[in-house]
Amino acid sequence: MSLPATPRSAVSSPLPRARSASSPTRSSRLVRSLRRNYFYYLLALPGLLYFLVFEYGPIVLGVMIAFKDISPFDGFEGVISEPYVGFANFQRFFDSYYFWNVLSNTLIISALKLAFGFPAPIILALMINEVRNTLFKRTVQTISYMPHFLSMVIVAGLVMSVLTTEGGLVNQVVVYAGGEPHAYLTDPAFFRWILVGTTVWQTVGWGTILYLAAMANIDPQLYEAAVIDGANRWQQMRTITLPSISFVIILLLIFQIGNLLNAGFEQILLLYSPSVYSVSDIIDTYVYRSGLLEMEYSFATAVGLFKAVLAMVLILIANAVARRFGHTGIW
Amino acid sequence: MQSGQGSRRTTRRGFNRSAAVAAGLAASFPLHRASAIPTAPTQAAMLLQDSGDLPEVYLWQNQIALTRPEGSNPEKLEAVRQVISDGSGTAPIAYVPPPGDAGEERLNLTLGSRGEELDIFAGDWDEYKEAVQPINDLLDEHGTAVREAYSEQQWAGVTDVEGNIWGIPRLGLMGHTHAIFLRTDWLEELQIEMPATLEELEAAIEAFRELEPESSILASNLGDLRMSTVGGFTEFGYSRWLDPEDDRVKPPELQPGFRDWVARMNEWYEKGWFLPETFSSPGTDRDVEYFRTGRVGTFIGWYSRITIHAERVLSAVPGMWYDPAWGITGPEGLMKTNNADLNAAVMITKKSRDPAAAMRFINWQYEAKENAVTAFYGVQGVDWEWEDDYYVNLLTIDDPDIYAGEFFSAAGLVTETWFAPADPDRRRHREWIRDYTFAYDTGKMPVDAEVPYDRSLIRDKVPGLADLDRLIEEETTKFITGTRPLEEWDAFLEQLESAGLQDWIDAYTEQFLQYQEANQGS
Repeated sequence: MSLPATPRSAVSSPLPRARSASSPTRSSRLVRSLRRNYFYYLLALPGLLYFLVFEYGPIVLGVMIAFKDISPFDGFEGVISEPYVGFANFQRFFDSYYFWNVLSNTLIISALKLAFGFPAPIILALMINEVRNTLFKRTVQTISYMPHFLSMVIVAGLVMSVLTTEGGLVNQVVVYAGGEPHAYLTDPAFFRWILVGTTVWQTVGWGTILYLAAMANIDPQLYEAAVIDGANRWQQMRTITLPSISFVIILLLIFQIGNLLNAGFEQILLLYSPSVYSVSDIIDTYVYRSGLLEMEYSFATAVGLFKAVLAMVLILIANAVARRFGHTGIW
Repeated sequence: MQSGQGSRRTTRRGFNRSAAVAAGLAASFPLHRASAIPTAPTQAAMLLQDSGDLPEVYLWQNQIALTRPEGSNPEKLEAVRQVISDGSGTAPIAYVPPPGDAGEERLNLTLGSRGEELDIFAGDWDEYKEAVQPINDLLDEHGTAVREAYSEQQWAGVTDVEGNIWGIPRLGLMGHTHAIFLRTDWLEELQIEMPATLEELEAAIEAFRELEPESSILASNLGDLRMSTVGGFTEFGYSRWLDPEDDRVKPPELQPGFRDWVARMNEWYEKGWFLPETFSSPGTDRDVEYFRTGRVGTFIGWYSRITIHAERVLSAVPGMWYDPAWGITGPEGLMKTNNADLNAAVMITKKSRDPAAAMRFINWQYEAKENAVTAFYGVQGVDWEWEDDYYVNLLTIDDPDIYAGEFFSAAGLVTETWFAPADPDRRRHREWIRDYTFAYDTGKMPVDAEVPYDRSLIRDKVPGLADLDRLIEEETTKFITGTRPLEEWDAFLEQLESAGLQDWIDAYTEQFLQYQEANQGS
């Protein structure tokens, strides 16, 4: 015998109400909120104005520059008065002999940094989280944070010193092991891995901060219950720790995907050379040479706009995929 | 309880207080933004005395490296300014730019800004044509000393096809910038004469490697290597050339013999003669560090690595010394190509409020050697004194509070041969310039040595110019290092065609013919 169907109203959301003349509309609710909280809005107003004038305003101007051919000496008036050239600057970039090379280099280097650089702080955070000795934990954290504070110029100098054939540490080890010294920085087979390795070394420590903070908020009772159920530390990590920090992982992954077109301009500019252009010249270094150094600001802006649009598309896709699989997105 | 407010009641006093805080924060944002932009005149310059009735001349000091990077001691600066004001009838004010690319960026912002004054700066006239003014009339009325200081050939470098003179020549045709330097102490130890031919050079390098197995050739960069050696394999050196078959200007890479040069460099690289990092990110500091290892037997490249940095370079190894192999020849003659940098100029801006005063200020420095030295080193009798008619004794060189050279605005090949510091460590650079700038017989003359190309026009006509530059740099390096086999040289030439070589040829040929036509009568 089947049970009678339960009326929806008993268990599910309330029945939709018919709108009456006295129910507040969305706009009247907004007006009421403004009137009630007016000084909070006024407090926020200067900050909002700052972002409108100094952040969003330049974006609008920047978009205009991309569709014009301005001279760097015309100033603001040039931005307004110069005629539009349509998509000429974009076409110039797309028609470039090296367009596919710089685009593929950008995506490949970013993907490699993502593949190796994204899991690294998670793994390190999980390992640090398992350490019981507080002093040792703090020491490891402090040491791992330090490279983050070094400027890229210093890091590049360190990399060159370590890899040089004239007494560099790596080549000394190679020679000691019976090999021949090798100029790794000018070898296309090694250059991308040098970029990835340097980035991981510099960012792995700092990247653990958010994950460790998320892990600190995990209810210890979950671990106690798992121990009672006979779970070992690996199982606890897999079934409790990782799922608990998954929202942080997904959010940061979405941001990283949106950042896929920023492959590390400063790092590459300091380390690359003609020998390795084919594997290291990215959109930003290309624009630096052929746009900024030649004072072709309209062209440089157009390429920047292209990058921004592409990044936005990537973020939207990543966010949609994340929500599709039931995870929290950015919005 | 209403959300967002808790249990507090909004009071008028509370609101006023909050509004005051918010207004203060809002007011601080533009100040914060403004303070992020480097301020223009130097701190010392801000303390200068009132100019009185004298016209102010704003100078962007990017012509020389200041002896004190942060700028002069304010009192010293004022003292020099007084001397210059008395002599020139102008009141100079100098900007000390931030170093590197930030300085260029700041210059461009200053040029484009309506609020900031700027009268004089140095750069390539073809790049800055929209921001500067022709100085033909200014030279005639207020710049006679400047006019007489440079030859017609040097003035031709800063003159366009219509006869407009866009600036005062800063460089021009130079015979001193590139050379092949060899370890003189090693030559003496091995009892080898300074090589005069390519074969003798290779024999010397072999001998160096027997003496010191890890010795190597250091080239400052690919461009300098080409300027120093390609001439030995091609008729015209590393120069654009006019192909007699079609009377069109073509890049150096298309010259007969260029491939032979690449093959020889590849041979040197395969033998291990080149320092492996020669073709990595170049830089003065890197080169100086390699010199200091004591294993650089041969240096091919920019002269100032040896001259300006002599103290840092040569002090590391007792007895180490480098001399140039002037006039060294290869199978096709002189290996070096003279360096034509015609477009570098000292210019007067379009927005200058008193260009005549700016020209008078510059002209004063050309009127007498003492004036140029004063603008460079400070007050005569206080900061410097003549040792003879060329060498200058620097009286305050060890004093931390010195005049740094902000007002010097006569940087050019001419004035750089007028004086040199007497100090043995500092004089080598100036002596080199004096002795070798006009030694054109040590290298091949570029075919278009007297044609100041307007590169901004060329960029407009050759959209793939940057691509061609990268293609040439990258592939030449690959051929030399063996990453790409020489058998693919013809394929490389086809790549150049795909990247827009014909546009390049058309653009350069057009300007070359225009200059030829314009100068036919002269």
